[in-house]
Amino acid sequence: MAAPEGRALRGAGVRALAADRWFTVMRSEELVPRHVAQTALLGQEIALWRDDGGGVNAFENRCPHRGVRLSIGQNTGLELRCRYHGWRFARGDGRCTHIPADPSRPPPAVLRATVYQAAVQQGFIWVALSPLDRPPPSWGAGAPWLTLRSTPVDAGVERVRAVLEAAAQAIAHDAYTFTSEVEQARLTLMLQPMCEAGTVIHAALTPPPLLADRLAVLRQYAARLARLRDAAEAP
Amino acid sequence: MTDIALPDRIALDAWYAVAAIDEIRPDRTRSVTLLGARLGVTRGSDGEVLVSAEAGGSALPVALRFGHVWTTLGAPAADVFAIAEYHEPDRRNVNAGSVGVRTSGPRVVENFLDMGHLPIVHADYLGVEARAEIAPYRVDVTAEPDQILATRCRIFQPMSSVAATQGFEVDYTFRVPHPYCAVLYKSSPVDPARNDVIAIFAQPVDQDHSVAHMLVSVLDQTHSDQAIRAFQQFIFGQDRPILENQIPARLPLDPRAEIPIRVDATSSAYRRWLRQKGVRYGVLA
Repeated sequence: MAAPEGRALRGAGVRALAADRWFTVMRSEELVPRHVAQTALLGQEIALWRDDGGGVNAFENRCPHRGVRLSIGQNTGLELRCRYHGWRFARGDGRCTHIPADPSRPPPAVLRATVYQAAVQQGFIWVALSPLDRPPPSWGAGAPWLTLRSTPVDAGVERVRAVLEAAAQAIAHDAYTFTSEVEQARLTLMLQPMCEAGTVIHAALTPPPLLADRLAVLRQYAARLARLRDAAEAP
Repeated sequence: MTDIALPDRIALDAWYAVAAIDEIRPDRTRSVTLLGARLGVTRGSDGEVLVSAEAGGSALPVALRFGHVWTTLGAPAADVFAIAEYHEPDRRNVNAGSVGVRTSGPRVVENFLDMGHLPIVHADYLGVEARAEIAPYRVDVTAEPDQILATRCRIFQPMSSVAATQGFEVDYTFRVPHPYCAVLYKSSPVDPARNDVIAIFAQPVDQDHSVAHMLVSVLDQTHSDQAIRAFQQFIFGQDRPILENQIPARLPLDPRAEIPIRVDATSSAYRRWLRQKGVRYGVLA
């Protein structure tokens, strides 16, 4: 889910308001091995990658050397390699481990990618821009749920929130989390404010539908989320 | 989105290549944008080239240099810088293309000066990953002439140009005679005692967009203009996705904004040089 072009870096004001919390940024199953995904949170571009140990890494999407997006680099399994000069940044702490142009010396310790806290919980990847000493929230008391396809919306989070609040059944649990009860199921919606004019709605359903019903249910919710998106994007 | 910030005095008073001469059809007007201003470039059937602002007003100064049309929005103190080799009789001077790039002019120039990326971005052509180490080289900044010169740069290149038949240790000199232009001199595979010359003239469309005009001046008497141009465009095609993914697009001049290492000496000198000159357009001061 790429940030809309040219919009990602303008959210500094928004960022200050909400940096101190966890946000869902992607379904965990979508972050496949040896891939680098690009996302954004509060105007900050993020390169997301899963290392070979299964850990999820969220780096600022910018090489500290010459500013190139790390999301166009390579995930070697243990390191993220910048496409410009081949500098490698270790999983975990983001420390630079190798500089091809100067291979005989260990890179100075100050050379590191900016790393954000990342965690996997209830099928989603969560990221916090500021270090937090608490795990991501566990909505629905951790009961099994079915994660639905995330819906990118070309609108700011305030607009998406207003649309959700106008939908009669949606209950706000906090500024970024809504639930609605539909036909004995609970739909949980979690908002990812990407930038001033871009939001992703992440969604999960409790309890998961029976396997036989799953396709029909997925279609039903896909249509429902598309209606929410259309309402938020309407001029 | 086009940035409409007014350019500073240094940017206004510089010469810029805005088109390759042979890319302008006679009796047609080519529309170009320089420092946010829309200009018309017209080449009469007699070969005379006129540049004027589309908004009206008198004709702008024109210089025809290195196969390109140069103009200015201000009053340059000097002529366009010289490239002596261009005038040597046995050279092939090829306009190697004008490529729009979504980044600032200084990012384009800095990439052109950058040795460290050659074995990575241009792997198996202008370097090899297994020999990516860059040996120390020398950087001189002079006031007279006002330029940066990086010398004693050496790198093994499997295919240094379209004329190369084998890999060899290529000697490079990089020269920055203009805030938005750079020239490199590299050992010619045809005559190791002489240099091929490649120049890049960045036309700042606005602070975040530019057109990279490229000149290739080589001793190669074998290959067609098209083959020479194709090689240079292939190489620049590898650079472009890098350039368009540098954040921010404007070159940060604060040495703390992006961390250099020893092999970035030319780039560090370039950023210092721009800062000392007071260049503001396309940079973050």
